Amino acid sequence: MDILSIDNLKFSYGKPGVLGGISFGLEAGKLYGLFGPNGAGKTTLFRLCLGILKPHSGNVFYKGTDVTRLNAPALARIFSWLPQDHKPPFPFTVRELVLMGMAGSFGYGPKVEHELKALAAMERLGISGLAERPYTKLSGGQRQLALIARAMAQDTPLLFFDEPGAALDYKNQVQLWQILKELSREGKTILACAHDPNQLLWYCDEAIILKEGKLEAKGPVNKALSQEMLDKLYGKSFRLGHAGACPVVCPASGPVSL
Amino acid sequence: MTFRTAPEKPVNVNYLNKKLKRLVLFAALGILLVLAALFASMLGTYKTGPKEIIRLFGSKLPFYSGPEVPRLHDVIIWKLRIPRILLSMAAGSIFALSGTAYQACFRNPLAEPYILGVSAGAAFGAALGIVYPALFVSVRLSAFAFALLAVLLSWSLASTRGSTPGAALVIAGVVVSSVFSALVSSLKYIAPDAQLREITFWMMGGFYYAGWQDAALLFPLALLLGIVFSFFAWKMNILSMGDEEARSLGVDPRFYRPFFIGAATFASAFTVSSSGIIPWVGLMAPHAARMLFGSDNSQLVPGSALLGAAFMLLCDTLARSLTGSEIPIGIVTSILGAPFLIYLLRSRGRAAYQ
Repeated sequence: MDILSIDNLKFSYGKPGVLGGISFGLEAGKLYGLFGPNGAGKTTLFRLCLGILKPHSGNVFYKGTDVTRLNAPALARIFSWLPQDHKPPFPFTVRELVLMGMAGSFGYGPKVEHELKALAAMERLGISGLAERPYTKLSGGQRQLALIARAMAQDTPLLFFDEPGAALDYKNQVQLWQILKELSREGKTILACAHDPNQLLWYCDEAIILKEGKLEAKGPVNKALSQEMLDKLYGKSFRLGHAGACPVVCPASGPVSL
Repeated sequence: MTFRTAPEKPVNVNYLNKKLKRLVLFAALGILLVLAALFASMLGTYKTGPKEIIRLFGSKLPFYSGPEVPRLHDVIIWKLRIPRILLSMAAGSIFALSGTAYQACFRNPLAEPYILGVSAGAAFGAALGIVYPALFVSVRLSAFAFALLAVLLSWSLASTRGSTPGAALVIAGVVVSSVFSALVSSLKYIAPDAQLREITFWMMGGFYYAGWQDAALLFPLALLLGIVFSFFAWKMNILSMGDEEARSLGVDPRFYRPFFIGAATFASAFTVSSSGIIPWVGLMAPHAARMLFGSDNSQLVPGSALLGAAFMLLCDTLARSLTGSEIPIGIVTSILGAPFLIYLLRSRGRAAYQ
């Protein structure tokens, strides 16, 4: 049974529809890559699932419960979210930021168990050394890791990551996907949006491909992210090839084009 | 990056130590504040020493059997100074607490208790009460009513289809404030000289008429506000991350923002109606506290309340004892507050604000 099922979801910000009737389901314990050109409706989809926006029609069900009926604390026990852009207003320390992931479940202040959980999340991402640093003074990549630690501390069955690798250097991006993969093997269901098709091909179990608010494909990455799909999304500008055992998407014109 | 490393070393001992240190620091600050308040009760145009103060407090205990306390001491210290000291500390901490809550709610380090029109509304209410004493029962009541009215106006101007964005609210506050300020100016224009003077004095703020009645209302209000805000400090932390993130972390801004703003506004309107407009404390105390105690509101809320109380106590004591006649406290808070904040900004601001 699907842990999350999205049923004919429609939404628009006024003008032409941003999401025009999308349906798919997510199975527990899988890593899904959400893929599509800018403006395809990826972030809107996240916002609808999180209850930040109300769908015009259609539903999002978590284990059979309509999520629009849930209040914020209940939603925060189901979904955690790594927002795309994040402007920090006050210089909280990294430890405080990570603890905020659990503030829905502790009352007036964190107990030792929450501190330990926050610490474990920071250790796992290798940022426990930054715990007492103000996170406004971190580099973009470190800040991203702190936010991911927060999502891990929130410890929800479903995790939404909106471009998690955007601010990371290449090695850290790859390691981040490794962590996402590990988390999914531990039973988390992860929907991560990415702009690099290679990262999808290398790490995700399934791809969900959106274009102009429509679901183009959903299925195992090597099937969904085919040459035909790349052509459909980007014209004939990319070629799907192989480097050893790894599928690689590269520019169709080759490495140099002047 | 290292993965799969379980937390082997007990790092949490470190943080428990830190928590204990903070607790000791707050307790020490609290005790210092009480001592400062006792010291302040000796100061004034009429000089008294520690002996008189101790004897006076003793005489208030049940089963007191010492020599009778002179009536003059009883009036000056017990009926005038002590309530005034309590009142100034309460007002200072209420402004500081409101400022802290406003800054978190608006995600804006420039937010302060007067940003939604509390001060302009209260000034207009007070001016109306002063110019038309026949129409308004008390200056104070009308100041309070108009302070609340101004904020309600700002709120309703900023609300569209059930949501109230923070930026819109700040702009609406500016608009409402300027309208009420214009109305105050027009009242000043038509007011006779004596009343014009009274309006001007009211607007500079002060605790001249402090009595036990005000202290008994405001002191519990300050304590209550401090306790409530401390209890919900983590909700405040999360609210300062912005509405969407707050929701995804389990804090509904549609409930918590009006709750914090409502409580802060009510308390500061009530305080302004009794003390007049005292500038600076509500902006300065939260910033000073953030630089000293960090951004986490569970430290920031009590820290800024204590600092606000201490600062207001200092300013009011100077205002009433520096010269033979009173100096309006607004002048003192501005003159003392500015260099203090600049000092903190230069010495510690780099860590906190970059």
